[in-house]
Amino acid sequence: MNEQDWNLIILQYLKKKGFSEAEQAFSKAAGQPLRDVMSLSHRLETHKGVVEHLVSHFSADGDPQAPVDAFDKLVVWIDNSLDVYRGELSRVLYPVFIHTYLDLVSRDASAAASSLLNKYRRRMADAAGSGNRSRSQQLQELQSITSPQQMETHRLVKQLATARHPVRMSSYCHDLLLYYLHTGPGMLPISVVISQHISFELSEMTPSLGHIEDEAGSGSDADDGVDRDDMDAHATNQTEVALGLLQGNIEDLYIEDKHKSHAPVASTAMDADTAAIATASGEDGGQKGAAEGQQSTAGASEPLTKKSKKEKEKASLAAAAAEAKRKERPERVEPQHFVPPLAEELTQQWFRDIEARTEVSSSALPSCCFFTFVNSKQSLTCTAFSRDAVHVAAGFTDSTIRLYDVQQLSSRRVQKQDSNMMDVDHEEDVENEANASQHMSNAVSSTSRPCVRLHGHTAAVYSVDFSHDQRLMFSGSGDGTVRLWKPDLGCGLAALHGHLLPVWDVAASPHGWLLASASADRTARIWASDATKAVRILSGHQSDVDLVRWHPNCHYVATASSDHSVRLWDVASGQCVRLMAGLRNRTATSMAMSPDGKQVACGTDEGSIHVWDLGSARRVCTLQGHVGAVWSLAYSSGAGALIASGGADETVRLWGNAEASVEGSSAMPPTSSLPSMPPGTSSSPAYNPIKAFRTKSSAAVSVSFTARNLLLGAGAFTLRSATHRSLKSKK
Amino acid sequence: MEHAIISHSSIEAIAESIDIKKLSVEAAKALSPDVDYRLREIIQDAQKFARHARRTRITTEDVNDAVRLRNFEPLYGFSNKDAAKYTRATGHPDMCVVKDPILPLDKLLEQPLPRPPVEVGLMPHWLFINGIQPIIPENAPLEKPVSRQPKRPATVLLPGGAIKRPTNAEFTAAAASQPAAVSLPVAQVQPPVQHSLSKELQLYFDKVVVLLKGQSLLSSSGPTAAAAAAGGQPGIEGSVPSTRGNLSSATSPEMNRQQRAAFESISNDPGLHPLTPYFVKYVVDEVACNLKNLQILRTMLQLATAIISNPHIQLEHYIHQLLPPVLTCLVAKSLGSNPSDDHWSVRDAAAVIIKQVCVRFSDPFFNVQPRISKTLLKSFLDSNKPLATHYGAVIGLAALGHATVSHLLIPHLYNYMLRLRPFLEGSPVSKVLESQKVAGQVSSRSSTVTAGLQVLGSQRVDAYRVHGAMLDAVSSAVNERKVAASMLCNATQDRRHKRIPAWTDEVASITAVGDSGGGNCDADRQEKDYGDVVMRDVEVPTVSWQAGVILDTAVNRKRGRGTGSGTGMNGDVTAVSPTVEERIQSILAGSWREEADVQREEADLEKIYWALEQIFGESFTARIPTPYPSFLNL
Repeated sequence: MNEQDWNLIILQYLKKKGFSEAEQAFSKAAGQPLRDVMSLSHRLETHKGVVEHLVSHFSADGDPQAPVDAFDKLVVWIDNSLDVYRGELSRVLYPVFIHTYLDLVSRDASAAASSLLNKYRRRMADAAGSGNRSRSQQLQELQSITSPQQMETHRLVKQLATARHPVRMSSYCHDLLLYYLHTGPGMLPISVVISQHISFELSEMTPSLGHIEDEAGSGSDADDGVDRDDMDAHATNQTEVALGLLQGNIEDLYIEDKHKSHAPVASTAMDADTAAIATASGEDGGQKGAAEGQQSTAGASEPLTKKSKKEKEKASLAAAAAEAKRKERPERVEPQHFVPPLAEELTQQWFRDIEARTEVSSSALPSCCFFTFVNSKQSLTCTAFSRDAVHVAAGFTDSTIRLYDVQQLSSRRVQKQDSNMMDVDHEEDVENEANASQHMSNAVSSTSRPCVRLHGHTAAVYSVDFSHDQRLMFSGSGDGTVRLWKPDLGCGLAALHGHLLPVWDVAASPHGWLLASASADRTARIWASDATKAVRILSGHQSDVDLVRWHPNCHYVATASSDHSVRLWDVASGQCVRLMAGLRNRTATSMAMSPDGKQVACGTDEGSIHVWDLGSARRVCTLQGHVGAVWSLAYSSGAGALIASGGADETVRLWGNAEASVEGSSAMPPTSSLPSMPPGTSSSPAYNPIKAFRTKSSAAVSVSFTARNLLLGAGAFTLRSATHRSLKSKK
Repeated sequence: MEHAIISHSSIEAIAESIDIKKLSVEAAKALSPDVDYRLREIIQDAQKFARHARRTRITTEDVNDAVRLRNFEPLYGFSNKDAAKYTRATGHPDMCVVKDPILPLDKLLEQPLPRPPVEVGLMPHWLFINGIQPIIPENAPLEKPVSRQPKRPATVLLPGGAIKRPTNAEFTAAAASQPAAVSLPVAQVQPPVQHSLSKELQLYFDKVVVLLKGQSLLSSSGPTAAAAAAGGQPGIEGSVPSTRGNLSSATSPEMNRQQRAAFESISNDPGLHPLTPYFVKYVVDEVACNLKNLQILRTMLQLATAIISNPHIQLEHYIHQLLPPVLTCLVAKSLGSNPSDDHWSVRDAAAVIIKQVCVRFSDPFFNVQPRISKTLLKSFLDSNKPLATHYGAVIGLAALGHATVSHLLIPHLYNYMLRLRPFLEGSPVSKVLESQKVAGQVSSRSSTVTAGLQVLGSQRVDAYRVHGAMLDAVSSAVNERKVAASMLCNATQDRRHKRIPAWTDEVASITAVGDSGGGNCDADRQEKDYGDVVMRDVEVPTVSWQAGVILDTAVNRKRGRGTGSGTGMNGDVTAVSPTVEERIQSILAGSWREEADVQREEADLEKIYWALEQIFGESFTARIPTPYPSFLNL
């Protein structure tokens, strides 16, 4: 094909489109007399069409690697595009992929075709989301097409050749795509495919809105009642996961410990109520008997205070529950990696916490202690509570971390209330104080003031967390480092470099010494506190990893990302084992794992909370209620019957689990305990709103349940302009 | 890229602003999509920073962080925690720019250093306890509750002070009982419910009661003793300062401070709703038992004010209990153990409360104001009641606003003044002058006036009080109406002169009558003016107002001659000829009619002014607002 022919083709195109001025200008510039062209064009009329002429040209002498490279470039470009548009842009990927593949096959370049297929097959299947059966079938069939001869007769090829693939897109995205295809080097094969096989349906809507509508319309979402075979199509989500709790976790140990005390020969060292339970269960082993026995002992012994009676009742209930659990052992997993044993005093402390725990449910609501930050001037970014609620750590945009000692912070009066409310008996209060005093003697700088400022980061601190034994504190910052702190000493221990971009979130593992961090560099990393290099890098998200949370058994971490997906990663292998892409184009702002390890809940920036079942990667329910972002989420300890959420709308909301609340109120009948539910069944309980509590103009930056099920919340008091105005007018 | 926000013309404008003179259109067109996209990138990243800082709005710092993230130099000098202040650019209505004033450096350097920011504080408090939110200042929403939902009877009888775990059964029971409670009287449906009050609230109540009682005991011991002493020798001037001295000195500053704090707390604390019935009952009982003790009454009224002004207390259910004691304080036959006591201030305070109540509860109870005004009017018209009661009624009605006054008070004004006259009369000249002063300053209640009042007979004092209050009420009401009318006709200001009110002729005739009645006047300057004006009036009846004024002076002068002493005896209308009398009466009786038409309204008002001047004389003239008499000089 010579220069003249090219000109001819272009001229033909212009003529066909009716661009008469351009046609004349072009013919002038080309130096060709018009009539010659006319005659030549007449000659070409016999051809199928100009575009096809072009295509045949490319297929004739193009490099088979060129389309593959171009597709690679397109994928990279789409991956690097803005979060808002990525979803829409990636819709063109699949049709482009199919047609590029078929094009390669038709040109008898099966090697390039198969390399393309192998490279992107998994991604294409994943991107479809669970339940898209036709796409995975298509991919299957595509694999079987390897020669041009097959294409002649294949049903799928014919079907694809005739129909144009509709892609819905906002106008701006369309512009972006075309601009890239026109200006990007070597993108010609892709533009040919797009112009030939894709028909764009342009909408003026903003990308996010259009996306939601699309998702609802296409019905490819997980909660549309697709049957289980379809779900198997989801490549990533087929991976086996063992979501059971860790063997020898504290709850089990507690139950075992209680069981030991059930032995008929009650040791003399036992205190009164344990003895009561022991004798009671020794008599007839049932819960009813336990209650009766308790009453009889109470009657026999000297009159007990109300408090201890309550305590006793609780203990007996717990013992009954333990009995029930022993009969039907929920699945437990062996630790994959080294889990350091708990210190003895820590175990005892945790046992006491479990013993003092008030079971909360939708009928027995918890209490909430809220920590309001004043004068923070919009600089508060995150807070964390230590497990025993002795420390509150807060990160600020001025790169400091402030560590508050709650017991020094609150006056004696408040502390008194505290002990009443937390259902701790007097003895424990004394013990707490003893702990506190011990801590105070340890502390160098925190003796005088209830607040210690920790300096070290060079940019805003975006996340803080305490280790499970409260001896370490972790923080992630905008400077890309993760730092280890010693709260007792009020000093920094180490800086972990590795992330290239701001660290958005850190989470300490519930057992052991591991730490997970999530960063804007699209990775999450696992760190061990004895090394300064990351032990795992979890990469796969296509945008910032915003949140990271540990699974209770430490084998998995869940991450939420700005690419509107939530992933579960195997810590040992570093592989992604679950992918839940149903955030409806919303960005996750908070995440929480259920204490039984079966569910993950995710709050988004527009106020909905999505709860997924991890085993099946299916959405359990979506909770609507918050107006504005959900900044924090927490499951209640124990059965996890409640979810607490704090939002930008200055409310703390409680969501109740219908089934778990029944369990909680009827003292956990042995037959229907939550952990025994077979994985994958969709009978996971739905949550419903219980109550919303307004704070005083402070968005709840964090909420968390203590081991005793006291809800702790924190937020910064912020005067908004509207309220400010109303205040003024009132005055 | 036709969907880009940044158009190529914007690029050209930006280029011009940074001194790139020649930027071709092609270059601008090529640049615009790129700039647009980069801007979107920055915004996306800034959003991320804002989101991770748990903020819903992007700040300049977020933008700088986003710029830094892409390894560019951030923009210095724009970091500000507060929102930027935009001003409209001159000449471009759609363009706003950030205010960026030029500050001289030397002045900046001279300025004292700004105060360091306040340290971040952490305040722990209970957000909710077992699912129930305690009403404490830390939890109170900054906005007042918008919905005024009728409360469930269960909560009315069982205020939330008690910490109790609500179960679903309770809620459903409450919901089920609600319709029944609505259809039947509450007392029959509700079993006797124990009103459980939390320990803290109980303590609070006890403390407040002790404080108030201690206060009133402590301070009242002084005044009552003094009053007893004064009671033995009434009318002696010496007793008055001693009473006052006791009043101020007996209340120790510490007590005062504590009491003030208590009232402050009652009027602000959001958690006091459960105590409302107790406070109301306390007020009712104390007022009923202590009508003789002014100090206690004052304290109780203060307490009532505090309760009413607390926005968190829903007083709708108690207002019917709280109003009677307040009304008692307003219109009681006698308050205090001695008539010389300053019970007027108590009545004034009660009137203020009445006003507060009417303002706050006119929405839920539309008939609260009519009912109060009916009560007050009844006691006003009852001639058997003492003058103190009348005083209370007048200030109470005055507190209800000018409409009430012109509807209810003014129509009865003439007859009432006739009745009041005997009490006012028969005093020496000096006392009368004194009393005029009192009438003018009755609201200020300066000590000298009070001292002066003590000398006069109590009935006369009362009469002057009533007269003064009446004058206050009427003049402010009429003036207010005038202001409203003049606001209506602001646009038609210039038409005023051309207008010839329909009633001018009548006034002219009345003036003529008055003139003929009092033709032989003293020869002074006013006389001349008067003659002139009357002449003008008869010929060209344009400025009707002047006629009224002149008439007034004429009447005054005539009356002055009739009594033979002084010139400004207030309220003395007997000397006015019967025609004028009837005229006044009819005008005042019709005063409640407010005309929609501006001109007629003004005409009406002028008539009323005239009539009132007839009644009150100069002291009323003094109260005409300044803008009004300005066109006297026309």
